[in-house]
Order: sequence, then structure tokens, then C-alpha cells
Amino acid sequence: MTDNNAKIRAELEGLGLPTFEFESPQGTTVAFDYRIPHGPREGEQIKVGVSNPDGDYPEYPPHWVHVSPPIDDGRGGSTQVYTHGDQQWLAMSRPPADFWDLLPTKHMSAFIDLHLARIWKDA
Amino acid sequence: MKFEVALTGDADRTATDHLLQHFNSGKLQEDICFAIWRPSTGRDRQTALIDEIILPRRGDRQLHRNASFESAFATRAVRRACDAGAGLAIMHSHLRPGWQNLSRPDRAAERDVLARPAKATGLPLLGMTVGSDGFWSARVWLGKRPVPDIRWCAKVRVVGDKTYAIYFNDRLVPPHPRREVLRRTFDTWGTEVQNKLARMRIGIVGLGSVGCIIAETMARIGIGTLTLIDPDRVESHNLDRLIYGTEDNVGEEKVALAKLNVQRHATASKPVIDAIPLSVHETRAYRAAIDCDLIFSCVDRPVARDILNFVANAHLVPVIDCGVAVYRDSNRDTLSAAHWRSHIITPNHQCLRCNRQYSTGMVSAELDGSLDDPSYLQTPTVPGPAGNQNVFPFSLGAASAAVNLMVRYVAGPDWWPSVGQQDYQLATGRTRVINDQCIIHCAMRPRRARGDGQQPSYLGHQIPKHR
Repeated sequence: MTDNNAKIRAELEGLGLPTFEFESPQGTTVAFDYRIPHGPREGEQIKVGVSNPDGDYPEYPPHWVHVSPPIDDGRGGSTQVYTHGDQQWLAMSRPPADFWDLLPTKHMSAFIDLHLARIWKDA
Repeated sequence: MKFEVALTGDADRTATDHLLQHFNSGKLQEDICFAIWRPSTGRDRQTALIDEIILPRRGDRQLHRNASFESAFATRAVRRACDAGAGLAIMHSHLRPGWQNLSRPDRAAERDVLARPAKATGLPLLGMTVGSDGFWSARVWLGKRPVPDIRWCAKVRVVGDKTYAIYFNDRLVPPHPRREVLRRTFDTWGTEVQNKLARMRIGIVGLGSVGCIIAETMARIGIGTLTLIDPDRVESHNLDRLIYGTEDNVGEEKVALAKLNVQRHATASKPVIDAIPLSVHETRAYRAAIDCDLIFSCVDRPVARDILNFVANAHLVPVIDCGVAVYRDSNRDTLSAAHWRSHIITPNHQCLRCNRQYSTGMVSAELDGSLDDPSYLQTPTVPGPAGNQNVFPFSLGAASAAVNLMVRYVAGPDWWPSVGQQDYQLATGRTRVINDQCIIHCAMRPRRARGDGQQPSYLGHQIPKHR
């Protein structure tokens, strides 16, 4: 999955988001700084990561969304809290299952704008 | 290991239009061309998958009632096969109908001239002959000795858009004799269709309510070889829909129960029933699925559907998927609506992702166990299955729709209109026929006929057992 992460990193950096990589329980995670765009936590600066262990990106979208500090969106499914370095992270299973396959161009901009943004809408 | 061949409908059309062009215009002239093939390796058979035909250019071949190729044509074909990481196939026509043996010049051309340069591809030479009626025969040239050995293929399948042609080698797969128990069946669709059906290996993935009804139907119509795949055991809440289940069977493997009953009810003279108590994403079950000539997908889980979508497109094994959706009014504790669908999945038909039977995201959610979390399914990001509600009559409807789709595809005449999907709405009593195609950027398109080179990366991984 190394190529997958390289593609994800390249796309994120092309969007002006500097990235870093680390190993998490859900595989190699590509992370970046993120400001929550709306909802009760609007404006909060957090770190967000994605990992994609199921298949080749972009056919298979990032599966796990990692958040530090942990903010649970309350939508259930598989989650795990873990520590990386001196920071706590929360990994949540949040694949964009409703629209990704139908996108004519699959890119991390769609993942961030259409998918990531809605995760914290009610968090 | 048996050898077989499968062509896409497009490859068949391109090759036969070329090879039979003279015969079809009234001339007694054979012709020749090349193709490239990719291996599809199942448990018991290797299939050469063909989707690309290499037609001759001016001066590439000589026509003298027979047809012969120039070395430049063969070199170009070998180079194309090597570039594609595929094997080489030579195709030529004969002016007689039916399965064709090799004439002495044909044998010399394949064994003595082409088999050695074809080794550059790393795969054996495949020889194919089409008869004047479009009937394909095939053989591979195997072995490392100076003179390779011929191995005849058991059958050649053509996965078309409207029909599914299968050309059997009667010596390796003899026709089943007419039996009194099948008299009405023979008399309904004829000996040719019955001989075709009886010699097919049909897979059924998912032996729940719908899968068991389909298994029973296959047993009754004389299917000779069945592969049953399901990891689950009978539970008491299955008994209102499972035709073979009784309270005594609770705890038994569903495939073992189905096998026992199918054997008892089979009308084929020597039925072979292979029961595999595994999920289709496990390697042994996946290989067994690839061995089938047609698969019924009676599953409602995204991973199984993703696997079968690969099998249908990459390995040219047609899949007929079916399912029931029930909508309940929970306020009034009553049924609101229900519909059942069946779809045929081949490279010519809409894939299971494009007709929205699952998504890659749902595959991910199943892989980590999230798909069984009710709160998770209510989120907009994961459009989960409609629920497990179902009743026996709806299963009967779905199974009937699926089997009839198979009958149309395998036994229907050319002039019948195409039916890719059908959707029956209980409320209106209407069946809607849908012939939508995949979206232009469908991820399955580049996978068609790619065989062993294409499989889901999670094949064989452990998946949390669903509740």
C-alpha cells in the first residue's frame, strides 16, 4: 500500500496541506493539520489522518479517519483510541460508502470537501 | 487440471467476422488470425481468457483455400502477447460445422512452427478453430520436450451480451443421456439446451432462503455439477424460509444440508455436488467459484458481492445476483413495500458497483466489522443493507427471477430482447426491465478478462463474523 499513501500524500500536498506519515494500528497513516469547518467545534485546529488498507487508492477510498485529539462523532462502528508519540489519537471506520464509487474523478479534495467536512457536523 | 477457453462477446464477434468472412459470402476459403490470452486459474481448471484479437494486415497471410501466416505476422503477435504479459493464441477457420480436430498441416503449423516462439510469452500456445457454424474448438500445447504435447480443451465459452454460448468437446464432456425423469424438461427446451445445461458447472454462493430454492431448481432441471459455497450454519430464525431446514438441522452447515437434499432430488444421472463451508473471499472458495460456468450470487454482504463482481468481469464467469428488499412501517408494525431484483453481471452488463448493490466503502465497513453496528448504518456515509427482513414468498419470487434470467441467457434464442436486470415491485405488481450500463469510469472495465492478474487485495483475510 506504499504507492497508495504516496498518491494520497501527493494529492493532499497539492491542496496545500503539508503531510506526515506514521504507523498506527490501522496501517500507515497519512496525517495533516485540519481546521474543523463547521458545527459545534467550528474553527478548532486538530490533526487528521487517513489510512487505506483495503485496496488500491483511489479505487478504494481511505477507510480509517484518525483524529487527534480524539473527537468521536458518535456514529458508531469500529473505533480505537491509541497513542502515537505523546498524543492520543482516535481511529474511526468512516469510508465514504455513499458517493465515492460514482465520482468521475476520485481525489482527496472530494474526500475532504464532501466527506470529512460532514463528519464533524454534529460532533 | 482441465483446460478451457472463454472469450468475451466482442472478441468472438471480431474473430468470427474475420475468420468466416469468406465462407459467409459463399466462398470455400478458410482464414487465420492471432489473439492474446490471459490465465484464469481455479481449483480444477485453467481457463484461457480472450478479449483481444490480432487481425492480419495486408501481406500478413496467404489464402489458398487453406490459410497460412507469414513469419512477420507471427512475430508481431508474439511481441504483442509479450508486451501485454499474456499468452499467444492462433485462430483459424474450418469449412465444416461443430468441434474440429486438427488436420496434419494445422498440427504442423501449431506444434512445429508456433509452439516454440510462443514460449517467449511464458505461457503455452493456444490453438483454436472455428467451424462454419461459429462453433469453437481449442487445445493447448504443453510440455518442455522438443515436441510439445497437445491437450484438448473441455469447452469454449463465449460470454456475450444477450446469449451465453458454450461449445463442448463431446469426447471429454460427453452429453448426458436422455432420461425419463427429465422427459418434460427435454421436451420443453430441447435436447441441445438440456445437454448444455446438464454439462455446466453452476455455483451458488449463499445457501440461505433464495440460494436453497435455486439449488433445488438446479437439481430438478438436471444440472450435473453444482458448487455450493456458504460459511454459515442453520439457525432457528432461518426455518421460516429455508426449504431444507427443520428444527433437527439447527447448527448444521447450510452447504451440507443443501448438498444432502440436492443429491436426493437431483434428476441428473450422476450429480456431482461440491459443498464448501467457507466464505467466497477465502482462497479455496474463491478458486472453486472461478471453476464455475455461471454463479448465482445469493448474498447480501458487500465483500462477497465485491469478490463476485471481480469473478464476473476479470474471470468471465457470468454471475446472476439477486436480492429482496423489504420496507417496514415501524410505527404501525406492518409491511410498507417490498421488491426483489435479479441482475446478470458480465463484462457486457452493468457491474454490481455501478448498479449500487454495494460500494467499496461498504466493503471497508464489513472488513472491520462496522457493518453490523445498527447505529453506524443509520449514518449517511454508509448506506447499509435494508435489513434482514424477508419472508418465504419473497424469496421464491427472487429465486424465480434469478433462475429465469439464467434460462434466458443460457437457453434463449437470439431474437429475444436483452434483459440485464429485472425489478419486481410488490405494491404495483410490475416488473421493470433495466438495461443500464456501467458508468464511464467504472473500475471493472479495465479488469475485463484480466484473469489471475486481478483480485481483491483482501482475498483470504480474516473478516469479523457478522451477527
